[in-house]
Amino acid sequence: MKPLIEVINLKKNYKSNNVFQDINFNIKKGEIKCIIGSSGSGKTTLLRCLSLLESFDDGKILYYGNSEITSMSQEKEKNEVRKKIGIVFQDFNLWPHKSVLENIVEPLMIVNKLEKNEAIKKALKMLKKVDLENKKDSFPDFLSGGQKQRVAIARTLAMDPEIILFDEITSALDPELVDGILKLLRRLAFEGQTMIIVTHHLEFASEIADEILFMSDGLIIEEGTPEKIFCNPKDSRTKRFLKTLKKHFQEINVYEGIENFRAFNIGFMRKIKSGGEYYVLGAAKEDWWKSMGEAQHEWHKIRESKKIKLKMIIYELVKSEKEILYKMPELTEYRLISKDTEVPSNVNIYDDTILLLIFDNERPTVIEIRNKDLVKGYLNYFHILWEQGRQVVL
Amino acid sequence: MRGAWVTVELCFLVLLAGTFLGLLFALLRRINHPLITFPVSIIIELFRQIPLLVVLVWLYYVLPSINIIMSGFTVAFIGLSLNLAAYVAETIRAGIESVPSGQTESAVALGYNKIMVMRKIILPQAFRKMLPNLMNLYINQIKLSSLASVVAVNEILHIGNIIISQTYRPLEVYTMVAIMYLIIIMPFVSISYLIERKLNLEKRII
Repeated sequence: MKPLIEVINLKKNYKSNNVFQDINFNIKKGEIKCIIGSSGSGKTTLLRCLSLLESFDDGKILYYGNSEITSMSQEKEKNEVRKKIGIVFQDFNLWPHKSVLENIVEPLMIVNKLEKNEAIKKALKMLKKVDLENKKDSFPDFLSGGQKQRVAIARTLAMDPEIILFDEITSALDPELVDGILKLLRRLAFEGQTMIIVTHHLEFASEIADEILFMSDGLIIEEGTPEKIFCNPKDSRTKRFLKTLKKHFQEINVYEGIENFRAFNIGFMRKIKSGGEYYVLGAAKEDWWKSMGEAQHEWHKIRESKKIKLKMIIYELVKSEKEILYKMPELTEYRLISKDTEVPSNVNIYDDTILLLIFDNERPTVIEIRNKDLVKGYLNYFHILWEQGRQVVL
Repeated sequence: MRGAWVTVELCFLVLLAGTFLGLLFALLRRINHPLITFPVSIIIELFRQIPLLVVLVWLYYVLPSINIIMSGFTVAFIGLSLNLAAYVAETIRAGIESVPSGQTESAVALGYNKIMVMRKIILPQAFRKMLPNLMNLYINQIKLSSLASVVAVNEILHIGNIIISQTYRPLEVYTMVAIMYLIIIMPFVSISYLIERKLNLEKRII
């Protein structure tokens, strides 16, 4: 099968700067490609060149196996190609002087030359698809960002494009609206729509893409299946990019439910270096043992083998803790402090991570916070209480 | 009364021709070809920079020396129209430029051709933005039509001057002249207020 779009040695300069060069890739019908990369890497410009909104300086693009567009192509040829490519923009670009329905109906009538009735019928079908039938007579300025983007997608879909290009379509949206848009994209993927998606949502990209292109400095550094890019990146630039993103996005994680709770705590104990010091400030009492259940043996085994020191501030010494103290007096240090200072949750501090443990019989939860400044603050507080505490000697 | 009728007639023709020419100039200026853009720019700049009074007397007194003889009414019509067109062209240009480029892009991406983008997307939006300005230009141009008296057009002021020279009663006559201008311009002012209020209302809801 011939590729739907074939990009051959595409090159673009802006003044004397290279925006991108030697771009080669192709996309077949039904395929989904995600382009990732830091800002300024040329991914948006590449998308705009594919949609022929921007000209390029060298190379060519072969559309649908028969229309070849080069830097010398006339506007008329480009316009023919454009009719079968849809593009959805970051800032929606709906027309504010037309109602939602008109926004979709007009291109159908002007470009696809549909009769008015047919166009309206089709537009309503598309609005139903994006769940906005009830907004058909509203004007774009009355809609939320998420709704606007859905209208923009409906407008593009109505034209029956062979391929749709999405240019960071969730970047201008509030976080709570992003999910709805991603859900819509998943549905399109399920229906077999060919798409190229420029996105910063790596998890989404790995879930939906057949292939991922990683761009940096105007080059496609790496391309391959999500597994290949995310789990086994070859190029150091890809690795660095993934690493910075991870740091940025995963400052706070929440692990909920008994399975997650146990798995996380054991995993975390494994991560701690041998001989490390682990600070616990809290009122867990028996709840900890209950929540960990069978897993506590595994946890202790790792702790013992790595000789991880535990410094704990507690409000009363319960039986199970006395047992540990007998078993490994050299590893565990307790300080008892008065019940007035009781902290309502259990705070664990290690290295640059704070764990907040919430003990709920149904759903024990770990909240993981990775933030150096917060860790410093918590540690200071810990040391103050530690000084005040009464040492426990057996 | 005859004078008022001439003024209304002159203004009506001037506003019509001026707006049409202005739109034409503005669109021609957007075509990126020096052979078209350059002469249009020159016309616009000339009429923006030379006082209207000077334009009128020049057309009326200088052109006959190269055997182009026009009536005062024609001279006033041409002068006022071109002057208005120059300003309208600038207003329309500003209006067109105020429409964000994303608006055009989404239309082009959907397959609109250039003419359709202009007609369906840019001009309707630009028009809303420039309407208040346009109304001001019109009101101003009606007032400037009094300058036509210097080229012997029988409009309100000129007729007034003639009457004064016969009756020597400037107080009554000039007051009458002022009132007649008021009556002609009043509808325009109220329309412009109406438009402005409507636009503001829309903005507020948005």
